[in-house]
Amino acid sequence: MDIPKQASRLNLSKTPTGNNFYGSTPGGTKIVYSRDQLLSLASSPLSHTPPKGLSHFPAAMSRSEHKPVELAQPGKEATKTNEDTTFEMDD
Amino acid sequence: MTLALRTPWTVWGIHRPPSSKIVDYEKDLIKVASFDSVESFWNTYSYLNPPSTLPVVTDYQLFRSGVRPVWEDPENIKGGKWILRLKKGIVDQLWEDLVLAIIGGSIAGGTDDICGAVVSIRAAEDIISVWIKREDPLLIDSVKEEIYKALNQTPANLEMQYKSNSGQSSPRRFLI
Repeated sequence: MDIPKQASRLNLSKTPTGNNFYGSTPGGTKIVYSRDQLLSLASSPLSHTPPKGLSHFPAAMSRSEHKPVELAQPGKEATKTNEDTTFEMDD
Repeated sequence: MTLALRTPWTVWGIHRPPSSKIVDYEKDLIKVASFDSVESFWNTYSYLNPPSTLPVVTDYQLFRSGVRPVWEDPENIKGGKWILRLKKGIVDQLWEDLVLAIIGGSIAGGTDDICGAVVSIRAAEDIISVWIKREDPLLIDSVKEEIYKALNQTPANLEMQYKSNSGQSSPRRFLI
């Protein structure tokens, strides 16, 4: 049962360009995540759970299959307009 | 166990039908979600439609949590923004690269000097802006360089304009 030791630790010290942004401040360590590190974490199981408050995502912005909140004012688009008021010009 | 970001972020959104006018921008802003770790960022990001698929006249705003995405916010009022006007068809990749650079901390050293970013979907073009807290010329210049680096672009193929927030007086707060 060999457990690879290094695999559990991400290298957080390098940006894609090789610049070292990893440093410490009096307040503690400041971590910079490179684009590649962030992208590699996109496949983590924890990155796949639905976000908190998903039901509040506006419909036009949400990819989910949940029923999101409509962006338009409630009741505004549902009402069928009478023909004689359909072509109201306001600009 | 999740990997903490340097600071928590909030995603906002706003939409208006192209023929209508926004009466109260702040009131129409929708706080979509907040996140403070790499994983919770991906949770949010992967459930949001890519900018290019949004209806015309929609914005996403990504700002440090606690900063409202309006120029009047105390964190924004003394700053400004870099504006990138994009031809149609390239916004998604550039927005993703920018967002990763911002939350990852490779713009403005990951400090509070970076307030956030906005992507605006319009009929003829898409616009990205990067909001900076202070009008320090060195900071403004370095953020410009960092944006080019993050987006893998050069001034030759992508122009940026800087605009100060302090000059704002119009109540109309959509860029376009």
